[in-house]
Amino acid sequence: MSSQSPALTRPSESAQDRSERHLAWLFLSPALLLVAGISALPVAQALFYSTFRTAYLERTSFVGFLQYTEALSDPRFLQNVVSTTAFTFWSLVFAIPLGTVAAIVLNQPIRFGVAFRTMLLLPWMMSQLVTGLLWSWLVNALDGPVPYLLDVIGIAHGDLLSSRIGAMAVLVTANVWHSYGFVTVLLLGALQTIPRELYEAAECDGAGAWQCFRWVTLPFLFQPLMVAAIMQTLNDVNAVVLPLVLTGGGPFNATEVLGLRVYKEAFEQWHIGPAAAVSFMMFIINMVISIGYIRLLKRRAGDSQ
Amino acid sequence: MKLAAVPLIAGLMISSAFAQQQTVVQYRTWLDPSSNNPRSVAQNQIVAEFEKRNPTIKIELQLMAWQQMHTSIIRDAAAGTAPCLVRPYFETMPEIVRSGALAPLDRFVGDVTPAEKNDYLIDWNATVFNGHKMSFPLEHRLLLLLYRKDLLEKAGKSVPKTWDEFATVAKAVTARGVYGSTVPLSAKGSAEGFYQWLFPFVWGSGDEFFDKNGKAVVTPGLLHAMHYLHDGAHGEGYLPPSIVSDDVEAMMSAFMAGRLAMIVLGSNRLSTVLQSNAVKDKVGVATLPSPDGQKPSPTIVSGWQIAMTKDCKTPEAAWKFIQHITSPEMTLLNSKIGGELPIRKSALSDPWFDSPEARDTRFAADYMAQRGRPQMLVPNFTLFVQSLATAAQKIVGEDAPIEATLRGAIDQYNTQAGTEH
Repeated sequence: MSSQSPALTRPSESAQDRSERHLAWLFLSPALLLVAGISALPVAQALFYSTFRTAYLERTSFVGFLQYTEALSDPRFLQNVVSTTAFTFWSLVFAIPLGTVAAIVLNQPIRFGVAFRTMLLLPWMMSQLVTGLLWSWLVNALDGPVPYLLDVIGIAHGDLLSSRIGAMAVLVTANVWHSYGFVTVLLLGALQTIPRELYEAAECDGAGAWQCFRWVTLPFLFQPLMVAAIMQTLNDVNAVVLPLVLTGGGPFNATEVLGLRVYKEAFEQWHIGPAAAVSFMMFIINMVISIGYIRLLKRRAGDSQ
Repeated sequence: MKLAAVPLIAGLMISSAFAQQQTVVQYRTWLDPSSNNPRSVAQNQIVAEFEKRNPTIKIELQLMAWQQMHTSIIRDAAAGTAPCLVRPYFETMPEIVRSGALAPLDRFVGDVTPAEKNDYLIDWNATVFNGHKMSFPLEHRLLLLLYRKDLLEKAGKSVPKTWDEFATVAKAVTARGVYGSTVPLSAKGSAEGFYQWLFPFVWGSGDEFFDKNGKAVVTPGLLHAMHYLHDGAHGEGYLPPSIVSDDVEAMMSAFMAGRLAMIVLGSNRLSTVLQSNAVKDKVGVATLPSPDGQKPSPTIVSGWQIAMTKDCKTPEAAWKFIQHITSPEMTLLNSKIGGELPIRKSALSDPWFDSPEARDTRFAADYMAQRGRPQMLVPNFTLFVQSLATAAQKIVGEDAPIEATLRGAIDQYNTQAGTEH
């Protein structure tokens, strides 16, 4: 199967085909305009603002891409990128397998299945604000239950939120707790579409539990897993509320991820120009990640054909 | 049937004509009128009283979360959609004024007499920017020292008058699971807990944060404050390991749980502590310690203001409401019902302030009158305090060299503090 074959075999377009194509574009245009208004316009505005010095919301002077070079040469920006990468990477490393295991468990015909489903999905239903407040109470060194339990079992911990690694670990844990439910929901839907006959056929061929998972379940899960990974990555790269509420970017700016930096610059310090520059760079990062995942999906789809 | 409709139509026409004559003044507030919170109840009564006295003016309350008040004023004024009256916080005034969102009140205050100006508990000029009167206070809040009587008694110590005594008492109280105090160094929000401790400490030593040219400077007082924090967390050990990540909420919760003996807290949060039946009898209120104990450290006085926006279409009516809400009569009502500190000296002569019910309010008002100092108004206040808080985190949490770290933070602030970015 060649990717060129459709072009080679496409018959010449008749007047009726052309008219239908134009009609299709006409019907699509309201939706396209809406998407352009909602997505493209704010991005264009951020790009526009990023090329100006600003005083509050007023543009004062055009500076081209100076604010991009200033951000790129700022050590704080580098630290923000490192924090964002660590936060996203470790969140994915734990959320995806945890969500997958939860989906597989919930797909089994177990007693109290509905109750388990509700319990496992509960964190995902909470807002990030509530999650942040809940975890800041849990790990509060002065009177939180987690440090108390660590004390009881004799584990020296100091204060989890006072060290760079500890604060990032708490932030990642809270994020994984909040987000694995999303992965579970996506995968659970996919698991329920796998025909029972495939497992029966595999068992007839002598496949064990692991082989059934490896050769029957996993191929069906690949696409939803990639979708979950894309969505999760984008959510984590753009995170603001959870770090803002849980750590405020501290200690020593160690958990100041890019989204939080943009929020602080724009809405706490009124540095709209630099904030727009960093947010546009975040947009580019998001695009690169999305295109990478989509290519991987396409390649995989091509391989399976 | 037709005849019966005539009075109805006439009534509608009259009420419609009346509605047309009524001037509507939009007032953006964060106090929910449907809440039974004492401050909301007081606000409702003040508005109702105004509308009773001024039947042609209607005050239309527009609700906005207090955290978004400052941002929303700047944003909505730029978009031309700001309401006539707004309720900004004192610290945010320089930014809001610089953004051009507010209208000067000069043409209204021309006939305010010197005696009337002097009746305000905080200097009239505290809200004068570049020679223009921009706002009026609605209430005041200041910092107080809260202490656990039970913990101090157990350690056989009395309330400290100096910062050295504070360290001694805090150390004596510290035991397993209990710390003498904390200074919340978290940079969350505007690092509120940190600057509320730092500013009085530095002012009390006679130093300032800015020089005559408006540049932030490293002073001996500021250096001493950082040494004091470092020693309290390391050598003396009366500040907890969580000091780097503590915020005001964590500090209050630990104080109420009996895990902290002394804290510096804003008077606006005092009612939260004292409303708890479990702790209200165990908590004492005192003035802030100072270097020599002769008189307490200056206390920051801040609070919510009322201001008019630049696009206000009904300035005369809006000014009438400002006069009403800041009158001695209404500030007294706001204290009695809303539990707020009064803004006018003359209100304090009311016998209510001598009643046991008003004991804490009277104490705070007297402290404010003697040692109150308006909050610092600097360009980009949040950036300033967050830079200092992050430096303090490094000094306490990572043993960073004190002077170099402070200088780095101050230099960074001075570089970034301009309005253009």
